[in-house]
Amino acid sequence: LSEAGSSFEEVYATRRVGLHRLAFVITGSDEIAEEMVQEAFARLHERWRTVTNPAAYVSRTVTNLCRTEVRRRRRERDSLPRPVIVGNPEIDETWAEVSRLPERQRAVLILRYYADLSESEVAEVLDCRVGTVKSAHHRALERLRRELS
Amino acid sequence: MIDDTEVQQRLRRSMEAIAQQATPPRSSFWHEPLASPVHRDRRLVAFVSAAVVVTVVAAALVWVIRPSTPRVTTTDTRPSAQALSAHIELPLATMVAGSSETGYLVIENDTGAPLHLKDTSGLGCVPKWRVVLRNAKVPQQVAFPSDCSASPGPSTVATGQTKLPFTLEAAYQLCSPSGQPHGVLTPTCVRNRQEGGLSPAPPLPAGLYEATFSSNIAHFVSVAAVPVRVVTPTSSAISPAKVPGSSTSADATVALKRFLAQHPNAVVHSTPVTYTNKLEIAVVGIAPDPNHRAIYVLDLTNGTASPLATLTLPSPTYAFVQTPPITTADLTGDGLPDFLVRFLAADNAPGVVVSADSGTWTLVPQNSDPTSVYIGRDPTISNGHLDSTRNDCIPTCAQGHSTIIVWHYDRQHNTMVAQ
Repeated sequence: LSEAGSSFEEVYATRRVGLHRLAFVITGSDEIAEEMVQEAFARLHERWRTVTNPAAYVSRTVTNLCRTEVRRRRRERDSLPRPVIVGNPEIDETWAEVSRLPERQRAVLILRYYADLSESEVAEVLDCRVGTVKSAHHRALERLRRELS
Repeated sequence: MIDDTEVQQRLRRSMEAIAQQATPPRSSFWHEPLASPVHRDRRLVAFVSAAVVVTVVAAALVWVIRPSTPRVTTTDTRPSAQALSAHIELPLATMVAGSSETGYLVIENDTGAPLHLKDTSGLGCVPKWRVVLRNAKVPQQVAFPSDCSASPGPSTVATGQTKLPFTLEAAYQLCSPSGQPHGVLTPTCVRNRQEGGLSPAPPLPAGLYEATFSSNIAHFVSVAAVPVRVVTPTSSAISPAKVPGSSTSADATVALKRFLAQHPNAVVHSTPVTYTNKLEIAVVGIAPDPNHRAIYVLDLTNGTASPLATLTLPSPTYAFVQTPPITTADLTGDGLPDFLVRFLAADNAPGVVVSADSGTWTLVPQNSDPTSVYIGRDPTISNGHLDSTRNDCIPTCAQGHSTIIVWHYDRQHNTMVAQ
């Protein structure tokens, strides 16, 4: 993912939409997604000279900002967006179950199956051990297998 | 019991579908934050507009609304999002293609001071703005002349609420008078509308659009787009000979009965309908075995039943709903019948739309994935449109809150799209 030589504007132009979609999958809200992506790029802008891998940095920042925002809303009983409904029964039922998973398990699944990250990359983004990612992944799949059957 | 592989595949499909529901802001370039964090405005919205004089010159323009007397506090010097807001008001959410309606841009200025609007063209013009319809298929850019003419907006917005009227047209913004269309954005002009019409440009194709605000001025708040459905005036004016479900010949009915008698695995069917003046058809649901389902489109012309198309349904395998039977309506707006076939799922009756609008008989998908054909929940045909319910599944799908959603046909992509 190294984009050595890219300007900030190039990273912004090439990554913004993809990161918005990632943030939307995590938060279920365009408004929150836009806010988190803008915040992540603002932080990247401030650290531009010291960040060696801008794309990875901003992806990690978006993910963690979104997780923090979801946790904060749950903790403060702020309004969380309702799960996105697309009208396809299989997808809606799957996503409804994913939405009920604990926040860390959801994050692991989204990073594994939407962002296509390896377990070690997921661990890096979530700042935890690979073993933690593996166990969260296993528990999430087990629960979904049970609930969706 | 499904296995991990199936769960993983569902997860990938679900997340891709969910991500497609996102609507990233159109702004595609970065606004560098100001040096002081208190001045950083993360809500700046940039609009890309095209300036047209003789040629169209794309220009990125920013709208700046500044209070004449900025409120100075200990933490901020700009109007907050709460102090300044603007939104679009439209009397009609559905417009007939080619028609127009008057809407309002409503600005709530609670900053405590009038706002002096400036444009950034450098010419000292008062700012200009417009609201136009656009979508992914017709991504119309707003064109502002580069001089100071042409429908300027106000230069000052008083405190409190200000309602600025505008005319919204369900027509293209540009057209080519030469009769040589240069693509989607510049269709051929309609000559008979030039004298008395609102615009020489042809009407927009039917579909779901957004009424979108654009300007050569910039402000601290974004103006949310408003969804508008454009319908064709002819979509409900099908000639009697082609009305879905219109009476067919006795031979067609006999041919269908004969086919059903010969195919005991045919579990549900439509009534015979006149498809064109010369073609009578019916749609039949076939369950050859517990794990497969198919839909036949039968040609019943001349008293014989012969398959026009065999459409295999993707997994998961659902049982056909037999009551009500397969229903018929023009769901794609081409003036020809389409069919809704419904199934029994765990807690609702999803359906598929069978249509030949794309040129061949297909199960109309919801996106580029041809297997995304099942429309949930409980689709029905109402007043010629396809409606279904949406369930928030909170706390469970059985106890969740349902709302009605309307589907329309995206002819460019040959997909059914939820409004």
